[in-house]
Amino acid sequence: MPESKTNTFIEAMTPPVREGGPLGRFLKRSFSSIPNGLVTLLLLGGAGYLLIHLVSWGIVSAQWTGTTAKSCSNPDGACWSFIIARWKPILAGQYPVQELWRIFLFFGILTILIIWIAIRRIPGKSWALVSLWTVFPIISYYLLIGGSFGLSHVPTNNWGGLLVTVVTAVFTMISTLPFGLLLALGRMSNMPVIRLLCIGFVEIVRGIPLLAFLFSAATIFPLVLPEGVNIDLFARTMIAFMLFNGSMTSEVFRGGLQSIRREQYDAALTVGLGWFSTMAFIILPQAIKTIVPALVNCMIIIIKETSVLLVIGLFDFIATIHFGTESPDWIGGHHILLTGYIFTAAVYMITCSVLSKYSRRFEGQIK
Amino acid sequence: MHKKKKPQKLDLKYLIDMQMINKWFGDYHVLRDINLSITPNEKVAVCGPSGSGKSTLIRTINLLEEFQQGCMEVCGLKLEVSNITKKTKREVNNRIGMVFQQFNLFPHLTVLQNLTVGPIWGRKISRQEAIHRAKKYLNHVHMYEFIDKYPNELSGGQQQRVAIARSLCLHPDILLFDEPTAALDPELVNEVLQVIEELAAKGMTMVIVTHEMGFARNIADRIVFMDQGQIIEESPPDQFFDQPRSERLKAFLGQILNH
Ligand SMILES: Nc1ncnc2c1ncn2[C@@H]1O[C@H](COP(=O)(O)OP(=O)(O)OP(=O)(O)O)[C@@H](O)[C@H]1O
Ligand SMILES: [Mg+2]
Repeated sequence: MPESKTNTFIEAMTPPVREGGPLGRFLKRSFSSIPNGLVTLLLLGGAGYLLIHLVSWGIVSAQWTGTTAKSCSNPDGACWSFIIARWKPILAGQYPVQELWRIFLFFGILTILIIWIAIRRIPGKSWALVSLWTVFPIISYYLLIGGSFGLSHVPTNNWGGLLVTVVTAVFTMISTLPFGLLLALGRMSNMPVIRLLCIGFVEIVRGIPLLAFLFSAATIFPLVLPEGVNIDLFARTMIAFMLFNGSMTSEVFRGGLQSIRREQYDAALTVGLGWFSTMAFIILPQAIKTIVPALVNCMIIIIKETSVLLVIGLFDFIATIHFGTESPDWIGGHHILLTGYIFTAAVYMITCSVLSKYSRRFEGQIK
Repeated sequence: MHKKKKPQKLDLKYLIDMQMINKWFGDYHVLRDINLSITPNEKVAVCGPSGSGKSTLIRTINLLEEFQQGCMEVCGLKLEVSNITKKTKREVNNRIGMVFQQFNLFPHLTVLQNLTVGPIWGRKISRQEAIHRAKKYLNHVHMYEFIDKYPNELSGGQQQRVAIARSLCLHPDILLFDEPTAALDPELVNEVLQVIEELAAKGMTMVIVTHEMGFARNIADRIVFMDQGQIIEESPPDQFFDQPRSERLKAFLGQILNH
């Protein structure tokens, strides 16, 4: 038998203080050896060089005012006057100028909804979410297309610019989530026909590149529709986007659903819940919590996908920039087009990084 | 007071009557010719070595597992292999409550929501009445002050007591327990056993799978011994422990009582 022994009680102590502060630690790590120091210097130098150029191009030598290409004579500076002077077509294409307030109202409602959903302190999240799938699409439809309530009709082929891009992105997101969820549930159904249909759809669509899918959807839809029914290109594209992205999100939903253990279904059954309430109150809330980051990632992909709209013939955000430089007033230089593209890239980048920052906050919450 | 009518009072000889139930997992014959009848207010303990099919047996009673041969009557519902559907599963579960080894609370819901979600959405009982019931049964299991906590904020014993209250909220005719204390630290076992004993004293019909032999002896009217998917022996506690008949039960008792 080992001898029994008692230790004296140890008082709790504060952890040792870390030396040097954040900057000190950064320097210590970055210059810990000669090669490390060289790499750090090189990278810092490169970044500084880029930054200086960007500032000189985008601010110092940039042109802000003017209504024609002549105002932007400096080929080494950004031509912001191009964006500023053409803000109307960039925002909404051929949308009638006296009706632009409808677009501002649409963007206003959208912004309010986004803020309501995104900021944690604002109560009534479920109302915001419910309206996103009910009143919001209806209001947007009558507001933007018009034709009733005394609003003039604006056909979608007069739409353009940021409006087309944002409407496509937002309504693809809104439609693709329930569609993807239905596909995932169908894939787990114990009715063979439903299951096989869903599996077949998801697997086929996932294997087709987006552009090929959009082109064939644009041509096949009119063929399968009954005669006399005409859906315009814009609506066809939105449906195609929903189908395509639905197959992606359905896989995310499936992953989330599979992460829920069988015991939760057992418990739900023993407290008397049927299939629908089990899904709605027990399974989905838990599943969705785990997949919010993946879903936000799907949303980011949808936003980026909208950049192909130009290729299938919709006059989107990029198209208004691109063709804007071919308008008579603005012919005159590579640097104008470059300004336009950098502007588009920045808008896309800022939107996507805000979204991904938002989803990272969720990742923190899940654990 | 909004007192909902209880489903008609059951006036049956047996609440559970299983006849020649057989079940397979793939090729594995897990339940063999099970005949088991349980009268109202009876408390039956089920014990046996690990893997003998105890969990499968009680999960078959409330149709969490389907059987492939035989028939049974549960709370007046006649169940055969051919009429096991989503609908009959729900009907059976409206009569039977179940408490799991791993508690199986809903982690995203508070204690109160765990107790009310079934009555409100499964039974269409008014929210007010559901909350009233929840508070009443939380009091019974001495968990009232934890009503707004989430399951992961509770100890195992507390979670299991909430799970018991959750099943009581549905006013079941029978309660099934699958090793309710097996996942608990030893010092938490008694608080759960005590709650079950209080329920037994109130006249609840119960089937309890357990390894707690002292508890089984105290509480049960009858103890069922299972081995390799069969019911080997069933008898009142005193006889079960003092005069076991089969060799297998003698060996089992020898193993668990003498160490
Ligand atoms: N879903 C399943 N699929 C296949 N085999 C299973 C399944 N569930 C249980 N089994 C097998 O059936 C047998 C009986 O299992 P059961 O869980 O009923 O035993 P038990 O008596 O409850 O054991 P324990 O005391 O360990 O809980 C075991 O051999 C087990 O491996
Ligand atoms: Mg078991």
